[in-house]
Amino acid sequence: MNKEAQSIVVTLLGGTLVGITASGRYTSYVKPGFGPLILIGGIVLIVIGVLSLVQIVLGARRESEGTTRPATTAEGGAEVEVDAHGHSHRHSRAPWLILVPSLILVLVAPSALGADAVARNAGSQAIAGMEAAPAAATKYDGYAPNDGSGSAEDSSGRRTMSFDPLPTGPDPVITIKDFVLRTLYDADDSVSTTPVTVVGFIAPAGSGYHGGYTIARLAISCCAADANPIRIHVDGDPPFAVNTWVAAVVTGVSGTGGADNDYVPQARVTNVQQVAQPSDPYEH
Amino acid sequence: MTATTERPPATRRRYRPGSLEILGVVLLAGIVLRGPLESLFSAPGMRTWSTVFVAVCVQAVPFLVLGVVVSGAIAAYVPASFFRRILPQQAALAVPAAGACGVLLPGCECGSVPIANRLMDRGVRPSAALAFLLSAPAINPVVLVATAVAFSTDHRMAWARLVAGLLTAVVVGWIWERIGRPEWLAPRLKSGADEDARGFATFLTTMRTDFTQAAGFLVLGAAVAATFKVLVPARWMEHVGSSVLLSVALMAVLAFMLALCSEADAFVAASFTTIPMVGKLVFLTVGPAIDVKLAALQAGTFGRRFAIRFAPLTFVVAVVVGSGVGLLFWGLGT
Repeated sequence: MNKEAQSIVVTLLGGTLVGITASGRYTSYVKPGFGPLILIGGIVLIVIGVLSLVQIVLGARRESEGTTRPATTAEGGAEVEVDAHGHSHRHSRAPWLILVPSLILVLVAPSALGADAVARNAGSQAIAGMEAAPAAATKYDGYAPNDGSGSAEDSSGRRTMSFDPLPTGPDPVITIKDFVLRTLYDADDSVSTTPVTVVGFIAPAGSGYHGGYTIARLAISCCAADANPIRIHVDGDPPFAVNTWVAAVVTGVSGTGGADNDYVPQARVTNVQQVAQPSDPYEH
Repeated sequence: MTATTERPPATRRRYRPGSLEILGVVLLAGIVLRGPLESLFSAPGMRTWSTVFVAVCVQAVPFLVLGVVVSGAIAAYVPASFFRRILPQQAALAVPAAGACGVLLPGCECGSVPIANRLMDRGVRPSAALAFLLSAPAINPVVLVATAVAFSTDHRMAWARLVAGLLTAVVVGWIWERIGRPEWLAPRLKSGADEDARGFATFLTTMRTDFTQAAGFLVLGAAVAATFKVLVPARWMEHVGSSVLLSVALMAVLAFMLALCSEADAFVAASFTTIPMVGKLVFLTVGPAIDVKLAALQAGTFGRRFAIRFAPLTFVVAVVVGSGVGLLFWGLGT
């Protein structure tokens, strides 16, 4: 790939990054906090690409005008050196690959991860060391719960933690992650007694459940590559097609999440409505 | 721009399409074939793949940009004598000194590859530059804070990570000092010409060439990582249980294949509920040092002959150091 094409490819990638940041689409791929970084990165790439083109065009013009001032030749000569310095840039085809993410982003515009990713990455939702089975209690020493809220064991052998009070108001909105943790571990069973609103998308029922459907969301800590599904099971026929985003008013059914169903707790739905995909499709 | 290149060559030599023509054809093909492309990517598996692939690229590019800007600045404005002055002459000391400098670069692994390359150009001995390459993504403050947050109930993890990351970098540097041969590295710019070529033109050219070369390989690594993520279900690791040996092997392979950003891997490691702490530390030690995306980046920057030697060496040292430090911190039990 020659330097003109390199400059154009770099500019294209920069433009794509600026584009997805400006349109807000970037939250389908990375967490919102990355926005400024991607914007700056994109702008720097555009600047590098455009200035390189200017440099190349000016260099070509000087050459054709035959103004071979000593300074110009030194500059031009050095550039050729760096260009050809051993990595055999001229023969390298790797830079062409830079077009692939740009083209996919522009032409295909991949959507945020959905039900397919949930099915592929489904795993146990128990917090490390908080599996409910009392028989394993002796092995807990090294596994502290990641939330650090402390843990205890109630009379039935269910391991519990203390949670902050729910937000006030009717059907307060909480994250699906919060809902799952409260249903599994809340000593006060807050979400089993108070209806709350969760926002997620419809997915097929997970393993351990027959029939029904899942309200799911993916949690990411950096980008979509580290996505981790969070699921709530609901009995009955799914009210919408798979991957439809919904806001559902739910109450948790205490004691339903266990080792045989990946600690996916069950919820009763009193109201479910289709909503637009949130501006940040992931939880964190 | 197209007009300028179409003019001269066609008349004299046999016609070979130049980069710009190919670029034009690729872009045109993309626009024309948009329909089929969209239907290809509408299959659920392909959809997930494309999202993960794009996510890895989008997330890594800003850090790579930071890396090439620093690299370009070093090439254009920092004389080689500067590094001769600040780094100790003896390799035994230069390696740990360069490793400790890794604390200064607040980024993830993609940025440190072009910088290490530029340091070698500037006369820093390869073993020291490589120690910096390995330590920067593992022990910088951003990564350590993220680790402390992810393991908020066991503060030993952040310290264990610092020790294991730095130790891996220094040990690999020392080993490379003993066994490394200059001809394994891709031929470099002659330092004489380099000394003269200073100023903004060099800055710009270095950034452009470093970026295009590294980013191409980054894309390749991202594609492999996304494929792995889509094809290998998360469930297979649940059955490893608490065997330390098995979990160390699994975590090492996983860290290599998943190619997570070092700022995110602590959160992923914390979510492996059934894996002992030693296994998690191995995951956090191998990941920033070497993974499929980094191996591709290194092959692109330093050459293939280098990468096929350096990648396995780093992998083995990181696994051994990670396990050793993990056992020191937590023992065999957990």
